[in-house]
Amino acid sequence: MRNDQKEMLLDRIRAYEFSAVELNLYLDSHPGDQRALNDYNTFVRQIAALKNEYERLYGPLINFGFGSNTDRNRWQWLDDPWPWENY
Amino acid sequence: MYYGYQTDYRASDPRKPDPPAQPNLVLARAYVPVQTYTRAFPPEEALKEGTLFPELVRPYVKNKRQGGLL
Repeated sequence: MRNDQKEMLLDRIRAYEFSAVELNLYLDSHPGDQRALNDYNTFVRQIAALKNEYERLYGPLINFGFGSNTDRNRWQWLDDPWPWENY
Repeated sequence: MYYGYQTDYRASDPRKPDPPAQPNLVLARAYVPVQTYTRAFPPEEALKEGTLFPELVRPYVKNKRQGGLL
């Protein structure tokens, strides 16, 4: 069960980030579009929440000061599996 | 020969663009209708469809006459 939930969470992060990229590209050519702006900001909040959730359960997604190390007494970045691996 | 975009073509003049490879073909004129953001796929669907915007979904349909605006 643990891996499915983890993979599902990663898939959601990927999907939400893709949508944010799409809106980003749209906003590049339509900077005044209020609806797109609002939806973009909504995606940003949702992505942050999803990443926090992932990192709370499985450790950092990205290192070098981006992901949070949620285990107080161990540097999780070394733990297997790496975020992009699933086994 | 249609060189509408060049008034006086001189082979030696470096500033003049080269003549088109197919001289008898008119250069393309692109038009880009302005997209307006109305509907959006839910994120998981957008990732599957390859776009967030339903109006941009244009799967390549082999052999069958592709519907929609061309």
